[in-house]
Amino acid sequence: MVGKCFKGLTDVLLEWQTKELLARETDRRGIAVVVRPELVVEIALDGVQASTRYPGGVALRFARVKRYRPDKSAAEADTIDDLRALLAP
Amino acid sequence: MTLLADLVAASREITDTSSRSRKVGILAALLARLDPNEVAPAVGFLAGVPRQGRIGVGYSTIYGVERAPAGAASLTIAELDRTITAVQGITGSGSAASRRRCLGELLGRATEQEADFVKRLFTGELRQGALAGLMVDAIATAAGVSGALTRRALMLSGDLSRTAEIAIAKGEEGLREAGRRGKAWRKVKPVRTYDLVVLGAEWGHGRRQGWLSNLYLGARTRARANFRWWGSASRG
Repeated sequence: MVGKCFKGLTDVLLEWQTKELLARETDRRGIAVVVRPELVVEIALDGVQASTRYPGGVALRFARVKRYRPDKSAAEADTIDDLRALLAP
Repeated sequence: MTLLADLVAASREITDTSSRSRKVGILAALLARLDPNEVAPAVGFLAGVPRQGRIGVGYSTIYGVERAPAGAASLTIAELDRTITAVQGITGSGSAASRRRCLGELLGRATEQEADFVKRLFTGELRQGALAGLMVDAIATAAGVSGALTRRALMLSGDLSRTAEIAIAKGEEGLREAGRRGKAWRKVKPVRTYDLVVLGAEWGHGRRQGWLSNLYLGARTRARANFRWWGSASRG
């Protein structure tokens, strides 16, 4: 996991995403619902920074949802190395 | 293109009636008829605060410019807006004379009522804070959007002209963006986007009660499609 994001969501998208996520639910932990990693979402960001909070080692800066990518599968998502490439050397 | 005379007439009608709903009605009717690019300047004029801010023309300068009033109204809202920008931009030596000339050209084309309005606008005599409250309701009525959302956007931005512009051009979605400083509110540099995988989500609260809102994002581990759930649901 590299971050959380709740920005950029419209009401329509929230409704759709709630339905789709619940259909993929595998577990509940406190206030969170865990889902099968299938949905791909396009996230805009201003950059990343090194983080000890997230196991991926990077945290997203000013992340917001642009849109869902129903045309992409999880196997086509960007990699942690793509994100690490944004870290300042 | 809307004539300044229409705005001046509306401004006068608002002063003449004591009914709040009537004032809102007059403002809303005017706003609804404006071209999109006229909204921001018009709101500023009506509130007595041009969107350009301080114009930098004193009482004696503006009242020192006497021109015979025009017989027929021809000035537009856009022309007054442009003149204010122009006058504000005049600096350096000879700027006082340039300003007077610029104002002279404007007032030479103004009717008596228009000239009176322009002079009071320039000197801040038109400024009325009470109008902001009426204007919020008028904007909501004219744009067909929620009054509460419009008030919230005004509170967050502190800019009546901008709020009106957004409400009319982008509707409720644009106003909602106000709190999150989205693309309707400020230009952000072009950004690269990443396709990430949703691993989970938190239940939202407040306005997002009952919806899964805060997404947990995962990136792929190298070439393998391996999305491990990383355990801790730490608050961000």
